Amino acid sequence: MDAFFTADEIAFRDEVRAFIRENLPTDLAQKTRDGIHLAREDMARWNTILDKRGWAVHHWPTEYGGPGWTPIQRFIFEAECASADAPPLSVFGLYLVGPTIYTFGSSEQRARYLPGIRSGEAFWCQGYSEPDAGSDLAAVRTTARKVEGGWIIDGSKAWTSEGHFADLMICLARTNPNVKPQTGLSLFIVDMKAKGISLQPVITIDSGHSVNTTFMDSVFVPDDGLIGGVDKGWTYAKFLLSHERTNNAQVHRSRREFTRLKDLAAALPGSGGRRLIDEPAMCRRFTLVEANLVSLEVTVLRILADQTEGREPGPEASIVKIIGSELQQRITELAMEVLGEEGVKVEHEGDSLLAQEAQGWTKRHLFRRVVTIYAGSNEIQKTIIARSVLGM
Amino acid sequence: MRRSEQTRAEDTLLRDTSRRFLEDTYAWDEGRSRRADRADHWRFAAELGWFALGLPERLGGLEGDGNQLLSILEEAGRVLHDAPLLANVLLAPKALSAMNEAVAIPLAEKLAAGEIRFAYVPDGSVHLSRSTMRLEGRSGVALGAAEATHWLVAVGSRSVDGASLLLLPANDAVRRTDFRLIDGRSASTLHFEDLAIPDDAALARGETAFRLLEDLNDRAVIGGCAEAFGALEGGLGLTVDYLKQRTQFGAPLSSFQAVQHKMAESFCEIEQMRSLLLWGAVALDASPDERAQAASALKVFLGREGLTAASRCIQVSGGIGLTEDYRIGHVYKRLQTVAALFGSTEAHIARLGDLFIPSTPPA
Ligand SMILES: Cc1cc2nc3c(=O)[nH]c(=O)nc-3n(C[C@H](O)[C@H](O)[C@H](O)COP(=O)(O)OP(=O)(O)OC[C@H]3O[C@@H](n4cnc5c(N)ncnc54)[C@H](O)[C@@H]3O)c2cc1C
Repeated sequence: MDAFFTADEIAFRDEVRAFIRENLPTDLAQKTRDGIHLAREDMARWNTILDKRGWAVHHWPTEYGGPGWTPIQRFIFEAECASADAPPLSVFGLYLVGPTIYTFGSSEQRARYLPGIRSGEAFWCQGYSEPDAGSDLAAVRTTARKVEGGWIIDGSKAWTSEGHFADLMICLARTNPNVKPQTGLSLFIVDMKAKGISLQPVITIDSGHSVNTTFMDSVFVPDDGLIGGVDKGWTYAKFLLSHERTNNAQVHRSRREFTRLKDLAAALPGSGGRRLIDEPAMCRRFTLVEANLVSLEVTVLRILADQTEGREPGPEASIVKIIGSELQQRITELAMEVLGEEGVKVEHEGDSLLAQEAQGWTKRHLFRRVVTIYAGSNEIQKTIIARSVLGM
Repeated sequence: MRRSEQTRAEDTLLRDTSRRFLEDTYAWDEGRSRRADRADHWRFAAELGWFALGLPERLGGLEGDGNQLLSILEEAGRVLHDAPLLANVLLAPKALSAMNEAVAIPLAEKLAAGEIRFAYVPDGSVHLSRSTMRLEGRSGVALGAAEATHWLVAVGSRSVDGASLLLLPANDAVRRTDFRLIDGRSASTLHFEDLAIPDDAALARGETAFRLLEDLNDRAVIGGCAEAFGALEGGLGLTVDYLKQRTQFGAPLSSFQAVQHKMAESFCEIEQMRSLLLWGAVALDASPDERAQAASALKVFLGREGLTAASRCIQVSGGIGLTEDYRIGHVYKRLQTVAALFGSTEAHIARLGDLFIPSTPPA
């Protein structure tokens, strides 16, 4: 897609590519290829490497350590990282907490929390959802009660991804039960080692452990743990959702996975002495996915180009979560067809290419059912398009 | 011929008894401790007549029809049964029917009594040398091979000349790799490394074997799809019940039209699958072409619409649908597993295509 980029952007891409080639440890790339839930140390190592070059918080403003890139440059950077199998950076600190704190937090909070996210030393988790507050997030029941010097938080949070190794949680809690649900919520910074916090692992469909249920029993949060104003939590949370528009599309991950899958299908034998990918049915399925992937890439670039050139993105910004998540699922569905019987085995025998690749793909495929559910389920996204874009 | 599942009284009885038995002894639970009493369970299943049902009267069997046989597998699928019923309910009786009676009768008796267990060992790259009677190569994924006493081994299934069907006693001299499948069942690959086999192990060879192997594989497909169908139908019921209970935005999820439509779509797919299964049930004993068509149509439908229906159930369940402790994910994995076994979806599309649009020789 070079035609879409300026000469400067191409030069920038080459610079990024060279840096990654020299600095990404091969074992980290291997782990990223193999696994779906990376360990904290692995994410932190890459974060630190990027931070030394000033690239860790690549979409933050320069005053908080960002490199001052345009949205298009960020796209290029992320594409290069993905295609080199660099570990994904922890999404909560980078995309959620950082922007929340530099936009709404106090200067003390900025000074205290942003450097840790940038360097990769501090890990965060997101405590928004609850057992009874999923799509209907405003139904949050966890309460924060004002006491001398701080707040007492009680309740439980569902689906805390990475909670078992996070240092801190950004927690949505009810501070005012007497107003309409959206207006009585506030955002808090909670130390995961605080007294009264306990976690229960939740094992997911891929047999992995990445999420937890977090119980908070009279957890004390000092006054400086409140972000921004009391009862403003909902406004802040919504602001961020509209601020970050393209990350959910996971376009770079899809491109990288699709390339890997294509390589796999080209290396595997098909029938009649052909490569698997040369079988007409396979070839057709790959080609159809490619057509959708390219259209996602261009859609994302369109949004970023608007942002780069100082325009507010158009309504297409609301479609990328839906089309991006569906495409992610299509890619692993195709993978299951490529893997055949090997794809439904839990244990694999030998060191053939197929045996090596199968487990990662199968786990990815199973866990991938989540992408149409979390980050605002696709049904909810469609309602938003119908209402706010189409005016229905 | 049966053209509706609105069944005869004795079929309803069979289905109800099976369902009750399975729910009492094998209901799915999150602890998955239900494997505890397996030997007993197998014996009870035999007492219910499950393994005699597919055997002809001349082998002491009950000579049940396809609908009855599939209803057992369907019910087993509903509770996500993980023992190798398919081979023993649907495949072994067929293989025994094709054997010399003197050998078949005692085996049939033991099968019916639950004293022996068969495993179907699909072909991978297995080759039998006719002159030396030595077996070489690797099998496909064989469900329940580790627990079986007898293996029905498909050999050289790709050509009429190379085809044989072997009956081998389960044998430690054969290298076996055991593994679990993502749906919790255990399976194995058998590695035949220049294994000498007795002459009488071959139940059939050549043309006869080729046809028998196709028959067995179609049976495996149809029976596997019946198990998957039971799982899926149970999954839809579970999901609809959940949607009626789960409240978001002050209303049950079941009241949202987007969610209703998703379940209605899954229902359309499930009912079509039921139709194809009815055809599959009668096609078990129909002409080879019709049986092949029914099997491949079912397999294609399962691999596409069936999987879509199951993934929709996960979708509307939300986060809970992603957890290991909740059943719907296991339903999805069962379907995914059946979709991959006994020929991939694409392979069955190609096969159905060949039957539907036979290629004409160039003029
Ligand atoms: C693996 C995983 C990781 C997660 N990580 C985090 C995390 O780190 N932090 C966090 O806070 N949350 C996290 N979540 C929670 C996630 O955001 C929620 O699962 C999501 O918001 C959906 O909520 P729910 O699961 O309660 O589903 P429900 O809200 O119960 O929805 C179930 C289904 O009903 C549909 N539905 C609901 N309402 C409507 C409607 N009005 N119209 C049409 N359809 C509707 C939904 O689209 C969905 O398909 C995670 C979830 C998972 C599964």
